[in-house]
Amino acid sequence: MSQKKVFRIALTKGTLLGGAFKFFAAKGFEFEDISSEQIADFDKSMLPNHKLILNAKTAKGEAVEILLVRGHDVPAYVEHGAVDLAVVGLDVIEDSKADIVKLKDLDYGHCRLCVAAKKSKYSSASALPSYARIATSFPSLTKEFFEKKDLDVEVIKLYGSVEIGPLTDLSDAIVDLVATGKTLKAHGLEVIDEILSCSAYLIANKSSFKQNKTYFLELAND
Amino acid sequence: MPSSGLKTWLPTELKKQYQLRDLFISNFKNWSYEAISIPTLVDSKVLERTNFKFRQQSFKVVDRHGDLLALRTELTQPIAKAISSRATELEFPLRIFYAANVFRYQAKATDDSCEIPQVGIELLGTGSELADFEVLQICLESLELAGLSNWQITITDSKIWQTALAKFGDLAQQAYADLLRGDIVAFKKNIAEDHPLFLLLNSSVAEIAAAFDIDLQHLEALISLDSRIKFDPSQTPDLELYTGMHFNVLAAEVGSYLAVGGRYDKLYPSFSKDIDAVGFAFYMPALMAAKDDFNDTGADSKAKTFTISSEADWKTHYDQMQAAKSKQEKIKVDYR
Repeated sequence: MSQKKVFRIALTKGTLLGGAFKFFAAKGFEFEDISSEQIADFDKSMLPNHKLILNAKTAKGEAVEILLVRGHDVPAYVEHGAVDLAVVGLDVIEDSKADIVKLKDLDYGHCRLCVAAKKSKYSSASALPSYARIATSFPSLTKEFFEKKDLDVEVIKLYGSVEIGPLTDLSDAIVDLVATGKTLKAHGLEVIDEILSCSAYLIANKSSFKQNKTYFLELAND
Repeated sequence: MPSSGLKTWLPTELKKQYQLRDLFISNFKNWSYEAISIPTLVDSKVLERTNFKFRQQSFKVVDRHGDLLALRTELTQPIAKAISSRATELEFPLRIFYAANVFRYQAKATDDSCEIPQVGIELLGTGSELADFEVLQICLESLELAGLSNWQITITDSKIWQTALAKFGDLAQQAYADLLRGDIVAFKKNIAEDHPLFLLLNSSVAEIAAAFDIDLQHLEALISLDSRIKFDPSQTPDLELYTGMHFNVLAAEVGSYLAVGGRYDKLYPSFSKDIDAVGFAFYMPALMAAKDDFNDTGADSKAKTFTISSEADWKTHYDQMQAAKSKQEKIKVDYR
């Protein structure tokens, strides 16, 4: 097993990335490949092509490696201690059940994890047929939600584009993140229930938190 | 039982694990600890005394009489049951050590490993909280013996949470639940910064002692054993088990605890035996991950080689093999 020598932070690739860079820049971090001006107006095209690890420095000048990771993989990196800190959506944290420390609600990347179905077909999740098929990238939260409602459903795990599920009769409904609702509307779907209100969170590995508690709590302070 | 998550330890890997295990055991023996072995399958009722997480993570099987058994998820409770049932045969204080595997269904949410080798000690029936020093000191010695450099112990006293719960009731229960889940966001939302409970996030022993009006001299003395022992009031010991000190061993390179230990004086009384208890367990995979400089003490090149080419050779060479072994020389037979 390779030993972790430097401080590491995982950032979720995609829509949460810009806000994460801005958060750490505001805490005095400097990034080797991106200037502070670029961070203020972040666009993923500013990142060096195909680079998954970026070098950075904390406000105190300590070396940090920034790992750009797919959202659903972030909890594994954190729980195993491959990284000390991470920025990831609450939806992914809660679905993973990973044993991590939630340090701060970063109050951006707001969205809702919702149950959605074809427009006008079902009024709510409770109106779905028995053993309804639910396509989702969030199987744990989906199972929990329907178990709490005492509804038997078949959860179909998909890794993306779950909106296609009801359109192809793969599923009766979907559980997915909704920000503006435009994607749902474009596919003739509508929200019929809400499971979780989500935003980006700063999280830490449990052991690393205990070893760097004062610093991590400082980072989490407004 | 799924085949995934069950690891086969190849000789080279096992050699490293045993190297550490043997170092620890040798030191335990020097402190007059003796080995104990308990069954791998335990009555599932024993697990009812373990925490909820362990109960959820247990592999269960039904025996031919229809009784529910479980693979042990940890060793302290099954040992307590065994010792309690045969306490009259034993002399206390009792010092015991174990080296055994525990089984937990998906010990980590993002990992399916479910068989964890542990090495630990239990010091039973001293009748004194001062026994904490012996156990913590042996843990410190073990870390030194393992050659780990970048470790840290975080420690607290379960009495702090017991006092907080007695003083602040539901709010303290909420604070405990938030910190147990590692949810600092919820903790800060639920506990006002000027409330004494907020000190449980990050403060000194003196601050906690003053705010909760509690004597923590014993804890302070334990912390003074080594500069790498740090007070962590946010630690959430299982209050159904732990009654006094509670510590975790961490290493900078490893994301999970290397060891967990503490005092659990209510456990044996739950088996109707008035025996106080303190101990710790090392999680060997985490320890091994923290240590990458293993010395290969048993290299095959050091073995004296005997070549056997025929049936007759065996008789000829066996006496020489025996002679070499009697001189503690390592031998190896080569068949050509």
